[in-house]
Amino acid sequence: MNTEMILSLIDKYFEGNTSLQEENQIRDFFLAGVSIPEEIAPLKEYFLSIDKFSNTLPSDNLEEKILARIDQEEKKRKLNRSFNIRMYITSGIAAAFILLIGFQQTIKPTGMKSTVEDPMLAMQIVTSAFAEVNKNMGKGMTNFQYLNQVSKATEPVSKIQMLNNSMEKAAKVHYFNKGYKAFQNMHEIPNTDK
Amino acid sequence: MKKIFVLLIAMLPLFVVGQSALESVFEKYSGKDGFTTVNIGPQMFQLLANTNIQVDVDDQEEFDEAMAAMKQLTGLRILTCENAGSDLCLRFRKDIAQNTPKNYLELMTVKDGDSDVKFLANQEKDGTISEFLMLVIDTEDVVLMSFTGVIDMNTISKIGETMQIEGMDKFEETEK
Repeated sequence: MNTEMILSLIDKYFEGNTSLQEENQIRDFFLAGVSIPEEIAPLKEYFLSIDKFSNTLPSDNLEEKILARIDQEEKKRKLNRSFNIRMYITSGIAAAFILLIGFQQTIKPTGMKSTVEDPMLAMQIVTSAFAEVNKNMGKGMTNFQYLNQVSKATEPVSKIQMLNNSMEKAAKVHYFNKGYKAFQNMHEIPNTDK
Repeated sequence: MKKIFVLLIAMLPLFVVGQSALESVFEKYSGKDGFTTVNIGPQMFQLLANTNIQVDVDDQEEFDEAMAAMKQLTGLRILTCENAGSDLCLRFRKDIAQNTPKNYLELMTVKDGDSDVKFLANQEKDGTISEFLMLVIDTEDVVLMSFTGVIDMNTISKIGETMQIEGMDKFEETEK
């Protein structure tokens, strides 16, 4: 078989127009393995594998196997469906649960039940409670006011301290003057004060 | 199924929104001999906040602020143990100490004569206070007070001042 013929047969094969006889010709060509053109060399393995499978006979229980597989797939699909249904139901329950809680929270945000039913009395209690908090917090805060008073009280002390510092500096000037005069006497420097 | 369990567990805090961290202590001692219990629930706070109270024009702004703050409260609980020196009151104090969450901020402790006052608050991540506790222990009794809701300390003082002085008489008038 020449190269042109086998190439046209292969084209025909891939177009799906080959007869059984022509397919056998292609197979025989690759089986012979003589002067296979480079461009169709990669197809050798493909055509020989088809040949190999075509010679394999189906097992006796193929039909059973196919049916078993179909059953298995069917079961799996049913299982998935029932799982989905269960998921929908549980999601629904969960959603209802959330709504219920939300509803409950809106009506009754806490589980606490008022022991007072009279609004006026409730107002008095709330007000007194806040006033009590204020009073006690105020007690704590007055200590800060005392601190403020202490700092005010120590203000004159700090002023005295500043005065002392100034006096000290003044005294140092005084000593400096004394020393300068002694130095003048020793070296008979003419008094610049004149 | 796992996801649902996780969801349910995540939802658990919803049940306890607005409840005191010391819920177990309140439950344990409420109604017992030697204790006085006062609970004001969220509905009552809503009712009070929506009550039309006439105040002087000058006080209106402060009063409105106080009412807005009250609207955000979900509960007030006061539990008083009479006879501070009794074993029951000591147990009560111990239970409070044991059940107070560690993350609660101790805002202030005031010791004034024979009375000790402690202020604690639960500060949320956004800075708001969701529970404010005041514990007063003196020679006569032990008082545990819990405010729950969205609490602003500035407005607490406003409610105390504004309502005590200006609000109450007007409220009584509207009720009559």
